[in-house]
Amino acid sequence: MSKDNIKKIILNKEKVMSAAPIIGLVLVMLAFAVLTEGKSISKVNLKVLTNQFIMTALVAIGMVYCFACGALDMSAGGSLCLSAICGALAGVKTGSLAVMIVVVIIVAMLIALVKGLLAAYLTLPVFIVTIILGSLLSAIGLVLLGDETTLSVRYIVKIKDLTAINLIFIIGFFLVAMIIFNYTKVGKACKLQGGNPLASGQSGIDEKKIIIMSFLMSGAGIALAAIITILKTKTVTAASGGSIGNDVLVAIVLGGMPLTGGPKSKISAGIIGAATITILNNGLSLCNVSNDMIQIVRGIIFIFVVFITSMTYRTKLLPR
Amino acid sequence: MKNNKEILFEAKELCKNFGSTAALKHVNLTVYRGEVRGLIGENGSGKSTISSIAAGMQPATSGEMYFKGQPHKPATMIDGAKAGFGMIVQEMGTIPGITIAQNIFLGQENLFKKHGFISLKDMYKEAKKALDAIGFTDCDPKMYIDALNMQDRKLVEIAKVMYNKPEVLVVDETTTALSQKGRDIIYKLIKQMKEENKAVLFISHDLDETMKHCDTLTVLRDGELVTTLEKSEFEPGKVKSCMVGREIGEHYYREDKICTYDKEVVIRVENVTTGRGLTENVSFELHKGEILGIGGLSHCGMHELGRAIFGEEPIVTGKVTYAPTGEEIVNARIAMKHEMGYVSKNRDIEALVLTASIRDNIIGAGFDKVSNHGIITPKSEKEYVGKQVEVLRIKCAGIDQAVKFLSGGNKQKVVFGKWIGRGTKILILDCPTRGVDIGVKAAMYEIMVQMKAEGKSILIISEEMAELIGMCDRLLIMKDGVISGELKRDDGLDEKAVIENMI
Amino acid sequence: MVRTKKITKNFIMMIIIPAVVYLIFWILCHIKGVTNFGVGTDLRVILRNTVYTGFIALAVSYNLTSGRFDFSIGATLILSTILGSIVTLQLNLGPIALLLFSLLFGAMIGCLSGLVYTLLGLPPMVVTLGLAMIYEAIGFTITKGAGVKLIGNYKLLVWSQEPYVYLLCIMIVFILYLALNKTKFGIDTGSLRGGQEIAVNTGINEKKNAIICFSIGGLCMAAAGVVNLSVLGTVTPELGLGSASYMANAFLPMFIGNILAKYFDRNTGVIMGALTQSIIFAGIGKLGVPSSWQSVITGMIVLVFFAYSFNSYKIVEFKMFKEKKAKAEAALHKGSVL
Repeated sequence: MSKDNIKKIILNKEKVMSAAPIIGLVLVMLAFAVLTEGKSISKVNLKVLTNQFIMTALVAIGMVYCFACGALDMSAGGSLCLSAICGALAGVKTGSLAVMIVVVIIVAMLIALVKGLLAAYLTLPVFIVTIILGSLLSAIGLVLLGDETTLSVRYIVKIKDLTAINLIFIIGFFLVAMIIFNYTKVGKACKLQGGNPLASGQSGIDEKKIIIMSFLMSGAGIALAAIITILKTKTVTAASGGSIGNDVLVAIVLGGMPLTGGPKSKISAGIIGAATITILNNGLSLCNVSNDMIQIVRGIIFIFVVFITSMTYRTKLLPR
Repeated sequence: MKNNKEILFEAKELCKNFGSTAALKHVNLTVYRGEVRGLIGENGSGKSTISSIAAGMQPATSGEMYFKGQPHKPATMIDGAKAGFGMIVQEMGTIPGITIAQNIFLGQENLFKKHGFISLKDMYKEAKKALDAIGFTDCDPKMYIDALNMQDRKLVEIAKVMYNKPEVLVVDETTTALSQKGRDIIYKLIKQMKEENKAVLFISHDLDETMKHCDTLTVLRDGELVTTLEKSEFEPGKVKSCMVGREIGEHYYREDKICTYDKEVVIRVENVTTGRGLTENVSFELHKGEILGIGGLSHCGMHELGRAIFGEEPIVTGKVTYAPTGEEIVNARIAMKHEMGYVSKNRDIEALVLTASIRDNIIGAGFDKVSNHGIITPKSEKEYVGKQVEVLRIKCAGIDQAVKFLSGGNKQKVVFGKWIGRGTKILILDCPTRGVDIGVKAAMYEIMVQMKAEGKSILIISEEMAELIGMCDRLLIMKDGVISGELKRDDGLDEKAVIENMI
Repeated sequence: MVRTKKITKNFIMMIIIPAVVYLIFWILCHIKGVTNFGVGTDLRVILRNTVYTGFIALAVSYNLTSGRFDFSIGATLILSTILGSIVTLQLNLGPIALLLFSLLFGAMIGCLSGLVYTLLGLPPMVVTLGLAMIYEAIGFTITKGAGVKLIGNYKLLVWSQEPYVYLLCIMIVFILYLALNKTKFGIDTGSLRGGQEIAVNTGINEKKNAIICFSIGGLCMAAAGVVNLSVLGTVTPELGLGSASYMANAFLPMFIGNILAKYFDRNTGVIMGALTQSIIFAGIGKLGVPSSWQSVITGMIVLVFFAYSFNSYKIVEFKMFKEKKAKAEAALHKGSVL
């Protein structure tokens, strides 16, 4: 086969692969609409779906920045938990909703800043360190809660209908994140750095600054998700935020994001992936598939998708 | 004298191509028993390529080899070793974190299998024998190899290679990195191989050393075998002229023969020593409108120096300053603030993000040039990048094509586009025409001349002598980390003069 | 004579860390008036935790030291113990069968993980993440979410009691000692770890080595699972990758194990590390630190260790730079003097 033909095939393969996440989402939606005989697209269910989707999407969109520059942050759950707890404590103490929200944002951004500094200046492997950090942050949250393991903010949250807030948050954050990711120096530098930090450094990109900026973006997403959690459930516990870190990891992969980040990262991976994983989880449970089977399916799909999206040519050596 | 000797190794019409570059062109080489054959040549002459093919490190593109009369086509280094080829390379071939004995018997541990387990005691005994055999007697094989310095670790490698009793020993540019003790061990081994009627291929840059220890000397140039000299014909001047005698097309490089540059100094390098590598106490000045060259052998310290001038290599003494303001260059951002640019020798690893598109790579160095109040629109990107693609005539399927699909020459054009696009005034080039075809080379030289005419400055670091001689106003030669000589274009840059300073 | 001196030195180095830590906490407790630290029941608990954490750290050490991050060890622990228990109950067998079947299942699951990794050629953290989800779910499904309950079945739950727990520990460590130090597998593991490309080029089979490493990991996790089962009387399956938290307690013992490796054997070093950690946990508890703070403190200790090991190269580099600087300044001085 001539070189040109090979190039054409590779380019087309890339086009197909970039459309795959959307196709996957549509297929999943249709499949479950059929399998549940329309229940999955009922008004009630759509409301449930949207709520779950927004949480995951907010964190996932912010996380795209970290993954894009090569920092696999697994501590989203812990960060969310600690931010929520701090905010709730402040809110209860002052009785003010505004204070609570401000504290959540400040704490989330501070945690993000610390993570960024650790990753940038101490050159620690982000993946392993954030796994430890995640449980560390939850543990700190537990300590702060003290004797009361759950904290209720029912008295300060008087808002009944959250739909408006949800929509503003998700649309607003997505737009801002997308513009910065695709049309500004920060986003572009992030992608370039994920592809080859040495080369991006020699092009004048400040590696440390980009790492810190990407953590701050994910911190923003976590802050918004934390606010929504508190407003919705009106309580915080040491388990607030739970396994969102893992959900986000799977979501981003399903959304078409290469795990190694780099120039092929897309902000849409956050939204599409979050939608896909939410519909998948929801659909499977509507079909009365037990939680464990759902997880098996997620596990297999995860490995499968990563396998397909990572066009790794087999090297002689095993990857590490 | 040679007629009675048996042929041990023979290469017939050996060719090796890397893409469009021919590293070996129809080389015929015959090595006899009891012969110590020296291989000498410039960088890129093919001397390491031919020995690595013979040892099994890489396959030839075409041609045949015979070893002891039988066809020789080793698929891996293990094959080559089994056939009787032992090769000591320049790079590190030992593994840290394990013992010296384990390093010597890497991959062959089953030799010491006893009742299912590996007898470390036996391994240590044999290792001691192997070390003693080469004369490295004050070494305890039970120790972790990390306790040894780099030179002594190389000795362990030598013990490893010699333990397999090779019939042809290849010593590839190893002596330069060794201490005197190590060199003596190698010379002794060479004598021993000769006495045992085996053969040695000795590759080195050190002409004196090569002439002293070899029986015959083969000179390679640009992938071709120029001549083989007998010991009686050994004469340094003759060898050097064989190494370089070539025709350089006059209109390929610069037309003029005069050294011109402005009095204004743009970059001042004072007593710079890099933390890593060889560069030591280097000082010079780069002027406006000057093409300054730095040349030397591949490990003379010039590559680290290039990075250091751009601010991307830690400096332990001295400093690099932007002369007009006196500001010190400590990282790429400050360098770029002063309109500097850097093209690395390791194109794929340091200069390009292979998985990114041409557009992304070129924009990567020019965010400030395309953004409008922080926003970068696709339109401004297309304009900026499109201009470079046009001016440099980059052959591609569009600016969104990933750079990894481009040919070497076009990849280099993208790197150039990165810097030219933002109007770089001080460009540092490291081996800019390596792996690039003639057409692109000529285009690059044109760009360099154009930039000089516009009053811009170029620092070109290169291992290709012809290029330096053809293009520079001034040429600094580096050897063992320091500047060993300076030549001016007016004086008539002569290849012989350059080589004198390099070796 | 020199040899016995060396053996004594190595022995002292191996036990000095846990010994010193024990002493420190003993003194601190005494100052505070606490007398039951590190003796009697407390000591039994410390030793038992050492075995449990030690097994987990051993499992992690066979992959992490070679740069492979295995997310699935927690799920392997749960699944192997569940399967071992089910078979033992079905066939109405005794504690030895429980142990052997669990170990067997652990090794098999680990082997499967290794096979998937080598066949797919994907980064290990990705592969093991997916496998962890699958193993967790299988454990959940087989037991219909209820797990295995052996409470009251004292005949089977012996593996957390003395002396059986110590015997188990010694047996496993002995086997691993032989494997890591006296077999081609062990030697290859060291070679691949220090120089992957060089080792593979000399013909060492990396895939086979990786699969064995994963199998050993699975076996060690099964051993830990059996000890845990004997303490709690139940094995509860988890979902949602909660099993990933098993790893947090393994880092510190593994670090210490790597440091002590050159004095005798890495496996024994890991156990010493686990002992140190258990002493620290027990000591902190006895000093009155609330349990919620304990995870915070241990998390921070591990982070500090991480920070050190990933930045120690900077210290080496700094020294190298200093040397080069001195050399250059000397050369310059010589030049100016001339």
